[in-house]
Amino acid sequence: MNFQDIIHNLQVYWKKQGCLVVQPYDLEKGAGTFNPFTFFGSLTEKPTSVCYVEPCRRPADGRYGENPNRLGKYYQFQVILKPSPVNIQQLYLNSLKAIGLDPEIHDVRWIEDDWQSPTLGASGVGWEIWLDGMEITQFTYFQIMAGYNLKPITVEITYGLERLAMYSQKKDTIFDIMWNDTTTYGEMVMESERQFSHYNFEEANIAHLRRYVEENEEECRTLCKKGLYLPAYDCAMRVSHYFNTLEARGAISVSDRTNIIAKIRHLAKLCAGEYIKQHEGKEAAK
Amino acid sequence: MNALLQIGTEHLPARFLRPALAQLKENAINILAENRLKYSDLETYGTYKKLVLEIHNLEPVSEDISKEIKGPPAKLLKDKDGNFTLQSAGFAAKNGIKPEQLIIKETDKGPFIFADIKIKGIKTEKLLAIIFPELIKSLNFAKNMVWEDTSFRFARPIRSIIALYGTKVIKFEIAGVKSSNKAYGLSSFKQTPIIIKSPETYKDALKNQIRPILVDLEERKKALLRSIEGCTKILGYKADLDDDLVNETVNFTEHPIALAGDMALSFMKLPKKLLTTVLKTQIKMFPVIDKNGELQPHFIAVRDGVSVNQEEVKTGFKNVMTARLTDAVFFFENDIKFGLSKMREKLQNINFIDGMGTMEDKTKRVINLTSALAKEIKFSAADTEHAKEAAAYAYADLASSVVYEFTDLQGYMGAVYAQKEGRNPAVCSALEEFYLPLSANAELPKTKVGSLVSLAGKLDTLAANFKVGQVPSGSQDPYALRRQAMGAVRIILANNWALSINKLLELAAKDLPENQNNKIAELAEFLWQRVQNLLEESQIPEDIISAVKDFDKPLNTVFENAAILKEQLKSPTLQAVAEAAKRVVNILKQAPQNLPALDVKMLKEDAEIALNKAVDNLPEAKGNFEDELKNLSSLSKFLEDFFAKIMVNTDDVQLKQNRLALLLKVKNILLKSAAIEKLKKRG
Repeated sequence: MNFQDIIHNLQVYWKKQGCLVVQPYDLEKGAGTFNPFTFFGSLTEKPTSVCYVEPCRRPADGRYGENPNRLGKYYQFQVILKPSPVNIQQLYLNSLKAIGLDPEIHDVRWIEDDWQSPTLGASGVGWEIWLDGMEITQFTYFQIMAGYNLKPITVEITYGLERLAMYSQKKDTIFDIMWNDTTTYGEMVMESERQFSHYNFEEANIAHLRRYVEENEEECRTLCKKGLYLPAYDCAMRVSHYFNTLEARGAISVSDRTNIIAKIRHLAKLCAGEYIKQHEGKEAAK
Repeated sequence: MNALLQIGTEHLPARFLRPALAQLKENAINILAENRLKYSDLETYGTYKKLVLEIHNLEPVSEDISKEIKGPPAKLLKDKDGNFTLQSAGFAAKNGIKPEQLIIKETDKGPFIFADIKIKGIKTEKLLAIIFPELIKSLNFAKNMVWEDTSFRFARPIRSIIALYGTKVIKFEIAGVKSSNKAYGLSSFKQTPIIIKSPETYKDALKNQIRPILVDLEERKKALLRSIEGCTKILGYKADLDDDLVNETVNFTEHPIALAGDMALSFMKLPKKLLTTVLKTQIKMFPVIDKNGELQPHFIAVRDGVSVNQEEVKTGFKNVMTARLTDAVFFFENDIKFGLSKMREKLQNINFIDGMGTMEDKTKRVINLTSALAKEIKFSAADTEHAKEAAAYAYADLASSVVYEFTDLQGYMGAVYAQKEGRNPAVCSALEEFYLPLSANAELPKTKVGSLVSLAGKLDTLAANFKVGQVPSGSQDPYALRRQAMGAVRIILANNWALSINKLLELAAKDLPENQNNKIAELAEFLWQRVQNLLEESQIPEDIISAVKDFDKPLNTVFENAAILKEQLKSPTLQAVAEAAKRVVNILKQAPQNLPALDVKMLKEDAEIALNKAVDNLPEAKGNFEDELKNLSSLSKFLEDFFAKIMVNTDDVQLKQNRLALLLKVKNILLKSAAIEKLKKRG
């Protein structure tokens, strides 16, 4: 199945399950979990069911387009459901059928893998799901987000779209994946992989990046104080991305690393706190 | 009638399964006993989706209780106004009866208040409705989660519960799940309930369906081994049936089915352990070997429950394996280009423990320690050089890409790189053996160079940890120092090296940085504990161990002496000497600190003169423990005579002090070889 058909079919499948199909959030992020729908969506009691494709950027993972298994930017498909349905495992397995991978004739394994994000102050319990030995999905019951214990519990399903496509199309390299019937994934992304690897590893201006980190941190705090948690959270996401770029650039020492991660976690917590405060205020007013 | 509880969950982590089943069994035994429910036997079994308890011949009603409980004296029943006292009312309440029901009974010690308790048995059906949910709540896992409204905590979500007593469903609800008689099949298939009619039909009901589930662990293991053998027989080889992987596979399948595939020959150039580690730990596949244990270019993968579409599934597994092994080749080749010397340079950036420097600092200390120990045990110049070279690179592979990815391969990879660099075989095997033994009773380094470097590494780790105050206590031993200490002691004994505990401490502590939390003095006793464990294992009684305890004697000597003392103590003569030694020590306990020196001229009685002479005339034992003990035995009759005839505590102070001085002289002789006063009387 083509890359774009996999996305399309997942969207159609989860739309049928009642999910809101939303578009990617327009900021750089290292994982789909940073998407505000996931981050804020998991925090309060309001039910959520949403799915979306999320482009993820991991500056340090790029390899100039030369390594067949590595990308600096790739795509996740995320499903966020709260509260978590009792038949969620079955719903997931049926979604595989929707993209032509019948779990009844493949080996689907649920391997213990508890997820955590030190930058978001988040953790969850779940599995990585192996299809004939290949890891295709991360399945997590969130337990904590931004330091807050969650209730009700959100379930997050993250499909690795490139892995699924490689498996489905029997390709050995990511770049050979067919995006549609005529265009390969490589044709779509190769130049971007090459250029961004140069940027992330060699050209990114370290002084500028450090300044961006500081400015965005400051702005995040200011905006939180004014109750504007959404733009504040954008700033926190930017800090996280600039930090990742600095790291790829080799400009982060071990102690730096710990400090900045703690800083981002703190910003995320400020935004989450403001969101909860306002949301609970609204609930009480009803 | 039989009873059955099945907790149906989403996929539990494989490592949780066996501990959970053990707990379920133990807790069931306890809770049934608490509720006075009799049964013939019970068992637990299951899969990572089903935790099952089966109780056989469970009585339909719990036992009646009828007993009298003694309370306070009868006079405390009522106060002067005829009201029940605080004491009597409290006693009644504690036993769940009204004060009016208390009775008075005569006892040997006068009249007392008694509670006459009679409790009727309760119907098992009713009790199980409470016991089953309690049991589910009682299970503890290494990590728990919440997933539903009641915030019930369990390892993974509970999705179904079977609770049966005979054919009857015991009704309760927990974590939002109502109990029923419905089991569910393999998770990748449509979840059509399988009705379980009664406990004894449960296993077969799950086995005898289109896609069988083997709920019994042993049965599942047999099926796994059979299935693997089916694959390897066709290839003409066998599988490397690693115990851990077999158990893990049994834990994370409901019906294991093996399939075999082949591997590109180019991967065979990888070091054997690296290749098998990738297969076993990263992708849970079994390596294939020939009858000599040589690795073959094939793999065995295991899938859960189904065997359709084998070709496509096999290709999938093979691709994953190829990708992982390609990574391994990449890491390995980079490491070889890099070399051990450059790896060692990187140790400057790896912290050892806070306050004890980097791994490079540790390396330097271990080189020095190796060299000092080598001198102590009189290693040849060549052996010493090899040991120092091995010490210099013992930690280098920690900076390699392969060990970064696969920590378990530390030591082994160092040896592989050393071989590639053409280093001396003695150095290579020392590197490979460096971390041995891996557990208290596991295999020791085989070569003497390897043994020495391994000992030096362990001693430095122990001393450094104690120096910063990290001393294991109770179950707290995060750095596995007990295992390291045991390893160090076993290495010394196996090589028959003349090294005392105090010597080890002196050498190991020499180069350590100062630290304010220093507890290194405790290391001597800590090491002695391991010696003691080993002596106990070789059937040396506790008192003999105390008698030979000595931090200044070489450990090999301590061991020999323990065995000799045990043997010699079969003789009543030596036993009598030990008893006499006890007596001497006790008498001297009350003696003044500064006794005048023994004045031989003041000895009057035959018995004391004879004892003194016997002591003076003892032949020289020249450090031979057996001879020393024989010497002591020869004193037996003189000691006996002395205590029979001589009164130490006479009124004549001078005489008394002189006799005490004689006993002090005797004591020094008696306790010189071993603390024989600590020996217990033998029957």
